[in-house]
Amino acid sequence: MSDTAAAGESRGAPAGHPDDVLRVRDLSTRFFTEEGQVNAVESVSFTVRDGEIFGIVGESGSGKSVTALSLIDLVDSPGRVTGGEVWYRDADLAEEFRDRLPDAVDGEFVDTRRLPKGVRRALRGPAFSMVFQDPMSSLNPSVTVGEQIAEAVEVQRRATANPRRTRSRTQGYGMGKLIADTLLPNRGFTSESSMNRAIELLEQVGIPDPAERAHEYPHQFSGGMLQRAMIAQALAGEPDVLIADEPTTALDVTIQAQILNLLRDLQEQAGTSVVMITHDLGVIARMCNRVGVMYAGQIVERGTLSDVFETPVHPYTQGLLGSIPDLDDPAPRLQPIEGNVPSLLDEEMGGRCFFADRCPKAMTDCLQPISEYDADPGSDEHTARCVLAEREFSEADALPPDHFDRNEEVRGDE
Amino acid sequence: MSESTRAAEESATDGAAVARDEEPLLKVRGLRKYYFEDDTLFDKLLGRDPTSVKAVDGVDLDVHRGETLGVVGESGCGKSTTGETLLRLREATAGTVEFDGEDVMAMSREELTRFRKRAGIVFQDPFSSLDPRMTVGDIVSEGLKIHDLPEESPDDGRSKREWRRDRAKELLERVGLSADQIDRYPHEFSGGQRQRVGIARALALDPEFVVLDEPVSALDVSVQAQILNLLEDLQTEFGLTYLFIAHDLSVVRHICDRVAVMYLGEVIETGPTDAIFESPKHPYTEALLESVPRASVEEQGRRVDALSGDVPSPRNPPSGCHFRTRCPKVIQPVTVDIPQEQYRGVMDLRNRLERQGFSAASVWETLESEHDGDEPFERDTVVFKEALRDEFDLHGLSGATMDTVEDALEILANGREDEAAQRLRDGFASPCEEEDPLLSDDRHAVACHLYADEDYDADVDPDRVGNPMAGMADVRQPDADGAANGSAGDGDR
Ligand code: SF4
Ligand code: SF4
Repeated sequence: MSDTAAAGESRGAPAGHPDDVLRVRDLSTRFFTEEGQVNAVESVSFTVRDGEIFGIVGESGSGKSVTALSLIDLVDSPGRVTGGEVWYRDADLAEEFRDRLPDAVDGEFVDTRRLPKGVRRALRGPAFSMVFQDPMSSLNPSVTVGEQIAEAVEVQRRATANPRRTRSRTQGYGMGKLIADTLLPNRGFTSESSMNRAIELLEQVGIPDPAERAHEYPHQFSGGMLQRAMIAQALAGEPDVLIADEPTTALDVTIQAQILNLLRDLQEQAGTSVVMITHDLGVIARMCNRVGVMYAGQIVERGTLSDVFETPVHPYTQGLLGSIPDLDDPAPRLQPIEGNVPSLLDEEMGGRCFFADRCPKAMTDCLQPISEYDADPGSDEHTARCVLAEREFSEADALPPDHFDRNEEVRGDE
Repeated sequence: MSESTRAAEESATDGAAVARDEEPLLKVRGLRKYYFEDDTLFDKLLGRDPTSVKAVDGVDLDVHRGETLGVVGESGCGKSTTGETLLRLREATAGTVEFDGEDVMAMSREELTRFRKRAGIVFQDPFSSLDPRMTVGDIVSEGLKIHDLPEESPDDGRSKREWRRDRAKELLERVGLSADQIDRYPHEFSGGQRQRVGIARALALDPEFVVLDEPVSALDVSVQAQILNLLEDLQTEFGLTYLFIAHDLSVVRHICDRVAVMYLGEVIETGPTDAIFESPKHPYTEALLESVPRASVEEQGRRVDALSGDVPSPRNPPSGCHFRTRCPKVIQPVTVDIPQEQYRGVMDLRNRLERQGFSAASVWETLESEHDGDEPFERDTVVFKEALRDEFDLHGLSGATMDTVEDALEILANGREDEAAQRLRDGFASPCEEEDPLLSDDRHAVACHLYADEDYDADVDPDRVGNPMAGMADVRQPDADGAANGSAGDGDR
């Protein structure tokens, strides 16, 4: 598949690793608000491999959650995905659309952005599913937990019953599907078997007394148990890619440890790929193989965990790492990043590095749009959206400290 | 836990290992805050007994001048209620709070007003804690106005109002905002800036003591670091004493001199920050520290032995040690000697039966839902018992212990939950459920039976759990023997 990819530039899937299940290129999402156009996600590219946990880390307003929603087409008005491609590897789907939509297909990859809306939405569940920070955003308070998961199971079964999707996967994932296949040779759609499957899922995510708890309503669950229930719901579709948006942020640290263990089990045993979105660098460090750091709607640095944590090139990444107190080695003084995140309003962004107004190393070179460069230290996957990946910092080119005070309206002057 | 015992200890040992010459600025003893539910007239008419929620259940704290004492714990542990109650923002159910030698609980209205000048608070949520209709200038100077400050008109011809406005400008500048933002409204500020406003407000009256209630938890890490640095600078500059309430252990380690760890309304361990983080004693503190994800590559793939289950409800805290329902080191009775995991498993099963309405029916239902094939589902006790052995890690027991467990499983399979629980209780009751362990009386103090004997037998290895506990009778005995205490090398090793 990489040879086909190499053939076109913006046609076809981007080149990548043979294990990629997802290749995202130049994804952009805008919100059209009364105050103006907000560039929430700005030309974001990354890949996710089979059975890995890819981390996206950023502070609030960095666009990390909107990126997640954009992947699975859940962006609501006034927001809209305005550009970019989401290439998803699915041989059967590719086969189905190869003739009809040749632009949307490349080898085993399909650009879900180019698929008809209905097809794209039908991928929610079996291809991608999502776990949110707040379980109540995906659980209905007036329906029992078991019924809601059983519903998700039925949706999945209907999708699987569709001839297009009765392919067998070559990879070993889809554990739930295997179980369902062996247990339910006739694929009946009775709600009883769906309920049984729901109970099984609840058990799989570590809910004690699953049969009993299935009859309870969300408010009867504790925070940690709700998070498990939501994960069970997300697993009902046997997704290839599970997108987890701050899945442990609302939880206490001992409960967080339980949920992280659970996600790790899913990834290891069922081979599910996980996109883990969080502000917590510790969670990223424990869980992820590869990481992207987001700032002001862009991925400003990405690479392996050690690329980003040990040899960061982008001053924002360095600043982020310098801001967190270390549990095992309390540094005498933290090194915060001065200033505030920019507003992301289109008219205020300007054609420059978005971090330049806070960057201690901003130079005249930084006053133009910055592309993603290969960064030297670390692995060959290491990239940074920063001129320092290409050149050394030089005092002579540095912007005067008051450059932005003079030239731009000051927003947030901490 | 009885505060009278504590008080007796205090006077008997004169603070024992606490090598402080001066009296603490703030001294809290036996603080309790209970809420009552089902306590309306309607409930009384129906003859319902009020349920008490023991949010804070006998807390002792000392905060010394110029230091930062961290109070850390998970949600519902009572840390914020402790902070608010000791400032008398809520009325305590019991206990004493002494501030600079004065009894806060007994203060008259005027005395309380004076106290409030000296002791301030910064709240967690910079969004809801500032009145959106007031300018930040008014917010910051509101306290000055309430206390009718300045007392005399300034002699430079400014009106009192002007003086207050100038003071507010000064404070805004001091917390890193600019004086010309004084007429703006909270919504015009970012979260970090609002928290700066909250800090300026707390500083307006020149307090000596400030309760910081999760002051940085709502902020992004880069902004959080700015605020932590600011708080440190202000402390040095104004000689402030802080009570820092937080759930983030890294933040606590960074900013606090001493730490008190809370669980279900009680302080379970307290001591110098380094001692707590480098050699935690209480199994709960250990688990907390173990759980925190570290932001470094060594963290990758680290699997944490997560504590099982949720924090029990404060409506019905477990008897004895409140942590025993989750404690990985819960002590076995003298009559039992099995691997600790299995003991934990037995206790988990019991706990579920006793506290969580675990029923045989639900196990059958789960088994039935897993049942496949065309045969109708039949209840098979062997399968039932095996499912429970799997779930609770009960394999590999032998002898009398096994007999008791097997008995209990058999009884349970027959749907007699209470009887099964009773059987397990008879066979496996832990010393930890009988006595609520007292907080020991050293600089690095812990409330756990594993440490009860330390002073008498320095060789007791708290990691060697699963052993019968010798000398349970001594557990409640406060170590009046201060000398033995010191020579045993307790405290922060
Ligand atoms: S491009 Fe320039 S301003 Fe932007 S992060 Fe790099 S050095 Fe700083
Ligand atoms: S007293 Fe017992 S249950 Fe409580 S922490 Fe100590 S060992 Fe664990």
